[in-house]
Amino acid sequence: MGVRTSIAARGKLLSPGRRRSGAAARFWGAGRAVRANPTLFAGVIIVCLTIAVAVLAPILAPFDPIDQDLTHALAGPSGSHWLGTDSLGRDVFSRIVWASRIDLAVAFASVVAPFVVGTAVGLVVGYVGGRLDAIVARMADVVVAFPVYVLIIALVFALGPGVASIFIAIAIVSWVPYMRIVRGETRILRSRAFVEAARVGEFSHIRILLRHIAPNVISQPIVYASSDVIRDILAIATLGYLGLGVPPPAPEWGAMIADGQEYFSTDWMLAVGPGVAVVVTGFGLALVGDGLARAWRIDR
Amino acid sequence: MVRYIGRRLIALLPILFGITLVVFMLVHITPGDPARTYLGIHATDESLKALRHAWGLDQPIPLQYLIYLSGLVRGDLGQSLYYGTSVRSLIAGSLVPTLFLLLLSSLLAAFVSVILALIAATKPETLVDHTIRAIPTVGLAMPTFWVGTILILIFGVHFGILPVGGYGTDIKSHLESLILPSVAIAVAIVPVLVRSLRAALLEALNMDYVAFARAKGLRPSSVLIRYALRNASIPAVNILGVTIGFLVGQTLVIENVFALPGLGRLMIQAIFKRDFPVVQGIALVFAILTMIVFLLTDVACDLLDTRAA
Amino acid sequence: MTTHKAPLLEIDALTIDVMTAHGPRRAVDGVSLVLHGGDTLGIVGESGSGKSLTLRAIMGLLPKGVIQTSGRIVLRGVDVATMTRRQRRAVCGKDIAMVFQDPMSSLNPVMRVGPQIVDGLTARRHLSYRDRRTRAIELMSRMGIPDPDRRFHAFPHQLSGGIRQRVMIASAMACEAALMLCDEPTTALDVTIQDQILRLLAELCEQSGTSLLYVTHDLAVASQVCASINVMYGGQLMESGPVADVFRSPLHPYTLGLLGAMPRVEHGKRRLVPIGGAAPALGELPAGCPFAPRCILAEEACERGRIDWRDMTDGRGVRCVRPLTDAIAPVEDQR
Repeated sequence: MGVRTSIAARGKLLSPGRRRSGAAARFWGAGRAVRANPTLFAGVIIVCLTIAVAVLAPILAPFDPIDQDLTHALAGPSGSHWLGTDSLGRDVFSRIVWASRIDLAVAFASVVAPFVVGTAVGLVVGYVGGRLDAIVARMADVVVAFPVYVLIIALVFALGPGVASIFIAIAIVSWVPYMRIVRGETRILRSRAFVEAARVGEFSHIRILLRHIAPNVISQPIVYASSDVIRDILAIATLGYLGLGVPPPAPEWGAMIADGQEYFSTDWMLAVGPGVAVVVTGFGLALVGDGLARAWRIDR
Repeated sequence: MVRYIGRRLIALLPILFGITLVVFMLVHITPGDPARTYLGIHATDESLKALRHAWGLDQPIPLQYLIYLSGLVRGDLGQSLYYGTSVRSLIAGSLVPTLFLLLLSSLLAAFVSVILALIAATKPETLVDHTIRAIPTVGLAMPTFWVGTILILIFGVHFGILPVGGYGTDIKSHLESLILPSVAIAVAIVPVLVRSLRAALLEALNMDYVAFARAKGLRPSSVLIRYALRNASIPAVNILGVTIGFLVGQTLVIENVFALPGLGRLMIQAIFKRDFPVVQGIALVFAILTMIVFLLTDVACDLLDTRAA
Repeated sequence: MTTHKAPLLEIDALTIDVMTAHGPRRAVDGVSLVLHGGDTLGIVGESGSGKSLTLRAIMGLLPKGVIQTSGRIVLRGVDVATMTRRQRRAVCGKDIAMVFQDPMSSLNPVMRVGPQIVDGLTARRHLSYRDRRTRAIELMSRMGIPDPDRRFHAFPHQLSGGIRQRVMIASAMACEAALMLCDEPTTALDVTIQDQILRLLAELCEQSGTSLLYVTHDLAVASQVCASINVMYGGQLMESGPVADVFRSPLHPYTLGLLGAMPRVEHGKRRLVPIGGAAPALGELPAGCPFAPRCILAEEACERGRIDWRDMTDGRGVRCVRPLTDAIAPVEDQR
């Protein structure tokens, strides 16, 4: 018994499994978990559908999302423009479909850097402890002292408009939870991992970290990441709404809602439509997060 | 008591230092010359030089930071580039609506969360419980600004019973204009609170002292309120404290949805005017505000939890 | 003892199941007992014998996932199953009060102890808070709590274990119920304090005419406060009878074993003879007598099926194929 079996106790997905090993076990484990877990199943379906919409945008969207047609501005829903057109005569439905590309791509990409940085820092800091741990903890405290969005908005402002600024701003702010989660788990596992490593005869710290600790702590940041994507989608849409997001004329859900708000009394679909897209996407991801947490028995 | 709070405040000093450093660095991570960015490409060299001097940008960076810090200590947040007045007076003028909104929305969120959590915890594993537990999943996915616009659409535009924005001129109209923003923020906060509150209540309800209170023949309502809720209030206040950063962030966004003349709106307006000192000042105030609320809830928890004293 | 009236409490073939991941497991199996006004009755058994669940079932305070599957609990001639939830609740604190095992977890840690005792004064809800407070302080001093005025405002964690337990008993006494249920209230305390509290409890019950149903794993404790005892094992009643008789001549080998496992000073020599083996885990009960696997006198008949209860003379009873008689040799010779 040891650290490896402890993940078996935590959940089915990551358990190494005696019959199949490595990636195969993970794949089969995941398949089984999806079937046994309706929440996860529903979530995966919704997320796959939204991703499919994003990928197939050129086929699904009947119009070019940035083609203006001022003669048909603010036309209500019709046979050709299903959700009507916006103030510049652009087809709303096409813009919502194309926006899913931008919002999803930016959101998923924004998760990568904080996930990698936070997990790595958390592992090292939790393992090494001491002064390094204290310094990183202070840095995290400073970042968290800023209310949500305040630091992101300030950073995007300082770095100038553009997708790169959004990436950097989100990364600077959201590595902290990953670090804290992984650091806590690592500290718990450290002594046990030593015992296990000593039994196998490994004495390299890097090997202990990578072989005995990392595989056991990784499920927690993954579950967190599934809800972090939602936060990032909301953050990107919020930046867009405030006029600080992906620069126009690229279609983006938040910016579309802001545009539509001006024509509320006549064309409410302009603001409601893109919002529904955000909610559906976020709901699917939230279901995936809940399902994963349940499959891995992680309390949140 | 005073010494205890003093100790807690001293523990916050390094974080405070870090916050000022981050806020200070905002100007310096800006690509290119901030003076050039501000004045535009047609500015003359003299005016650029004058502006750099006025901002202290011609000094070495550590010295600039010290000058900035010494200003902060004196309560000087700098001059607004756009309005020409002091940042401090601008912030002071916008603080009240923000605080009012924070207070109202957190009260509303706490009230709704407690009710929902009570219902869920007293009827565990029923349809009601499952419905309430599903709230976080749906609520997490809803952008606050969108909830705000929907509320405007329904109550402002369609029914026309509440103002669609602005702040009004007297207390009554202030309150009226804060209703929809508070609801929008509560919709964002309640999902976070309900999940933890329900867990805390369920835990309290399973304690021996609740069984003992029942055995004494107390009415279920008194058992619930005097024994379960009272004990669950400690983790609840704690959660509220942890959530405060989220809450303040939501007010920033919502102020812009409803055109409330608070700090959040001032910040976004300053951003579009590239009014660096105002953005810096508001970021600083927001961070300090959050820190203070967090400290207060933490102290409140320690006071509520008599065992820690 | 007033036997002509309806008994205060009558339990008839009570059966309780615990829901586990592997299905329901029987925790209490056909327990019956009768308690009249003024009786002091002990239930003795090891942990897991079902004694505490029996008490909780009487109060209607079974934990989640624990279900009473059959049997009746009759209070003053009324079956509690026929009561509405409101009536059932009214019984708590009015007819029956309960003292829990662990005073630390049974007192609300964030509430001062005084108001918690005041909460027990259910019968005196009509009084003003000031009067109820006076009454609570009086109860505290009767429970031998020194300086009750000051202790009234203390939090549970500020009191010693002994005082906490006195507070809890005071809080239960405050109900002025006809029947007091005690779930090992002295286990956590050291022997001298345990002794003081037991004396007080017995004294107070006698003065006020309160009946006592006392659950413990310790025969000696039961003998100190109870007039008659019931021995439980594996969810079933093994033996019952007046304390003195059971002590002098136990009828069930398990009781004999318990007596042997009780530290006694006899002939100037301390002896402690433990029972071999371990108590059965929940759901691992054998088909026959639950004690059979550990019983030195077990025979084939013991394992064949459920053993019937036998009423004996002098108000005694036993559930054993071959009850012990006086002819049986003393403890040490059996090993």
